[in-house]
Amino acid sequence: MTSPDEPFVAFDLDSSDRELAHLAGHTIEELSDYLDRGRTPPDPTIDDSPECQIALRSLQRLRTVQRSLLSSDIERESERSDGWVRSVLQHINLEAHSGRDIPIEHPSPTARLVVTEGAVRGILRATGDEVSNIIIGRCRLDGDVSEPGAPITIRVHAAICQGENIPAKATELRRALYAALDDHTDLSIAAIDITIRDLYLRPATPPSESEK
Amino acid sequence: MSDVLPPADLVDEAVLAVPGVDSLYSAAPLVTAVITTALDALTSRPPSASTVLVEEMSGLSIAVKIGVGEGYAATEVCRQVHDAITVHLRGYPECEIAKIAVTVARIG
Repeated sequence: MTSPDEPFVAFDLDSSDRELAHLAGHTIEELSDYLDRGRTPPDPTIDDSPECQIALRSLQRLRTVQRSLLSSDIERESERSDGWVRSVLQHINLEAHSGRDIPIEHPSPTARLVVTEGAVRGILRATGDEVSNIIIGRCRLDGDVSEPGAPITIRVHAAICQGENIPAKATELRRALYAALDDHTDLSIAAIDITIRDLYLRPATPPSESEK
Repeated sequence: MSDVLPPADLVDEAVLAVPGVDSLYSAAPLVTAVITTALDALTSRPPSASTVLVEEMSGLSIAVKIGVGEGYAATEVCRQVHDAITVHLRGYPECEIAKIAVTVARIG
C-alpha cells in the first residue's frame, strides 16, 4: 500500500497560481468549505464555473466514501486512509481545469464543436467512482486529443477496496470507461491502462440482528 | 456586415431549450466572466447573457459554453446545440454566420 505521506504521483502542489487559475479564483479548500456550508450563501463565481462544479461533484463523491469508512473498526487505520484520500484530493484539484479542447465532429463548415479535457476527465472520474469499491485517483489522456482520429491512451490510477478481485474489477472499470468515452467523445481510443495503486479497507458492515 | 446583432439572451434561451443542456456558462474569457458574474451579484442586476457574439469582417461568430446533464451523450447534445443556434439565426437573415463554437465544459 502507498504510505500516508506518499501521493500517487508527485506534483508541485504549492503552485497556487495554477490552482487559482483553473478553479475560477478559488482554492480546493474554499470549495470544500462551500460544501460544508451547504452551498450557502450561493456564490455565483463557484456555481457558474464548470471547473468548480466538476471539482465539487468529485469532492462530494469522495466524502460519501469517506463517511462509509468512518467506523470504529477502521479508525485505527485513519492515517493510512488519509494518505490515499489526500492523494485523490490532489488529483481532483489538478484535473478539474478545462485543459485541451477535444473536437466533436459536425458536417457544417461553420461548426467548431469541442468538449474540454477537464469535462472528459470529470466524467471518467465519475464513471469510475460509480464502479463499486473503486475510487479514481488520477486520470490522464495521453496523445494529441486535438487531432481527430489520433490514437489516445487513457491512463487511470485507482484505489480499490481490500479483498476485491483486482483483475475483475479492472475489467469492469475499463468497460465502463470505454462506454463513457463512446458516449461523450469522438476520440479514437487505443488503450485504457488501469493501475491499481492503493488498497483501502472494506467498510465494516453493521452487525446482523442475530449477532447483536 | 449586419447593423443588428441577434440578442445574446435569446440565443441563450435557444441553447437552454435543447434537451440535455442543464447549464450555460459564460463563454467570455475567464477573467471577464468572473468580474461580470461578481458585478451582476453585487449590483443585483439580471445576469448577463452567457453567449458571446462577435461580428467580424467574415461574418458573425458565436460562442457558447454548456454543461450536459446526466443521461445525455455530450457529443449529441453539442451537435444539437449547434443546430438549434443555426435554426435560431435563420430569423436574422441579414447575419452571415462565420463560426458557431460550442464548448462542452461539464458532463453529468
